[in-house]
Amino acid sequence: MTVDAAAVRGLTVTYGRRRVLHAVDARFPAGGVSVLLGPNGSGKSTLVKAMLGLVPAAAGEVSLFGTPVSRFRDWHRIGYVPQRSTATTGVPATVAEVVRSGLLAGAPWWRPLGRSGGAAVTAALAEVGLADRAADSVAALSGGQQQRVLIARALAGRPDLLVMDEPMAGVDFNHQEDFAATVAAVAAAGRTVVLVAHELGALRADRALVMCAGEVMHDGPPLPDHVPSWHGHHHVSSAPPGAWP
Amino acid sequence: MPEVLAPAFMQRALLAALAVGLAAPAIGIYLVQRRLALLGDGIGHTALLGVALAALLGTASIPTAAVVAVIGAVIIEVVRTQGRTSGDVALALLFYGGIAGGVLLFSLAPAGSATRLTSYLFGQITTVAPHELGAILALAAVILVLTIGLAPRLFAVCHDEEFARVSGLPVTALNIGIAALAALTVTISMRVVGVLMVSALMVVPVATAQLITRSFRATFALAISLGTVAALSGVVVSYYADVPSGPSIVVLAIGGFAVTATGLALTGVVRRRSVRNEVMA
Repeated sequence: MTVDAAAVRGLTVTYGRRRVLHAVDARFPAGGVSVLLGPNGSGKSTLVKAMLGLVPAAAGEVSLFGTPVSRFRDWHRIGYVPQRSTATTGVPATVAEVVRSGLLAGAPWWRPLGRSGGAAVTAALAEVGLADRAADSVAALSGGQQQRVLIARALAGRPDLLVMDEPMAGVDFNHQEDFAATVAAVAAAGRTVVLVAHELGALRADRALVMCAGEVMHDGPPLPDHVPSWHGHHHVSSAPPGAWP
Repeated sequence: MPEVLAPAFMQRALLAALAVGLAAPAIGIYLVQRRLALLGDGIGHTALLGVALAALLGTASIPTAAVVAVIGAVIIEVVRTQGRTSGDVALALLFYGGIAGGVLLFSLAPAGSATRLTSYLFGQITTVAPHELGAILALAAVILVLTIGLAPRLFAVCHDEEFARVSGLPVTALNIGIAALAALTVTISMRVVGVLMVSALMVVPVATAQLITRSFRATFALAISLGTVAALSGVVVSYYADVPSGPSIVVLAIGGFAVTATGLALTGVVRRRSVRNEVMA
């Protein structure tokens, strides 16, 4: 029997008195690309955060690779791209410095990351097509490139499960195909991908979970209406306004 | 030997300034990174309460201030992360509670303490006592070793807390550690910089450094160098001009920022103009 990469059963999450997830059941078996779709406030980000133990469950069970999330310690098996618009903070940092943070999971605190760490950073940057930008300041990169830096950071530790929360938010229109290709390559390497998105777009997903008001409304192969009708023409600049934030 | 190095109190003040000039930006860079530049200021206010308590009880001021400041820093950190609605208001209560309580306790302390109050607020080079120098240097060494040794982890937590959690890092412990190290920095700095000025030495060298750096590592190295230069030269100015050392150090640090920013703006103008001339030609 294979163990699910991630699974939630009867998961309820509340923020204060507001219930954000209602008894959600979802399993993510190893391998493949799953996309969580749904309108703003439908609970898709909350579901992935609860899955990673970032948000406490009011009721229900959450497990990663068969271990309850509260007792899970193999964090090097997880790569996470949080929802944020930039990779910058109050102090300058190079692309390589940010990606290097992705090597800390499971690394003993007394041992420096060393040369093998440098090779892992280079490999992760190559995967997202930013190999030549390692020494640049992240602030000098475009929004879409910064998003790719965060993806490289998640890939640096060679995780088995890659969880991405709205990774396409800052990615400009022309890079949607690049992003889809990156995701496909990650999945082809045998990793499990779970990502939150507004729309499927150019992504090739094996499975779509459509959420609405804290419940899973659809769980199965992506339906035609998840793919925008103009799909296939997306190199033409006739995208409907607001379709790609 | 230059005249400024002759008095024993100046040797102690310069050694303390060296320690503080290195340690303050070393922890300050993490506060700036997570956009909490004024946290050091709040901790300084609570440290004053500790100093006043020491004056009232007759205990040693640096250890007492260290204990009170660390407790204050941990409370600030807990309020910051747990507080739901009015975190900044809760912090303000702690800041003003610290300084008001400190001034009140100072007024209750034995005569002569009131003059010492200003030396704690703004720094005074003659106040670094021989028995304190060892503690100042040792604590500065601890702060440097931890801020450099744990740099990858502290960087990760200050850069992206959610990501750090999913990396399995002990985020809460690291956050409290940063606050506690900032509190220790305040207490070792209060002799030469003063509790009201110390936050500037944590923040301004970092702000100056990042005007010209691209990487975190270079920012760190340049900031502690600038901090050391400002602290040492501020102490020397204080000796010759007979002014409090804290404001001298801070004015020099801010002067460094202003000169760097102006220089960059001017070279930027020159560069743009030459590019325009090339385009025109």
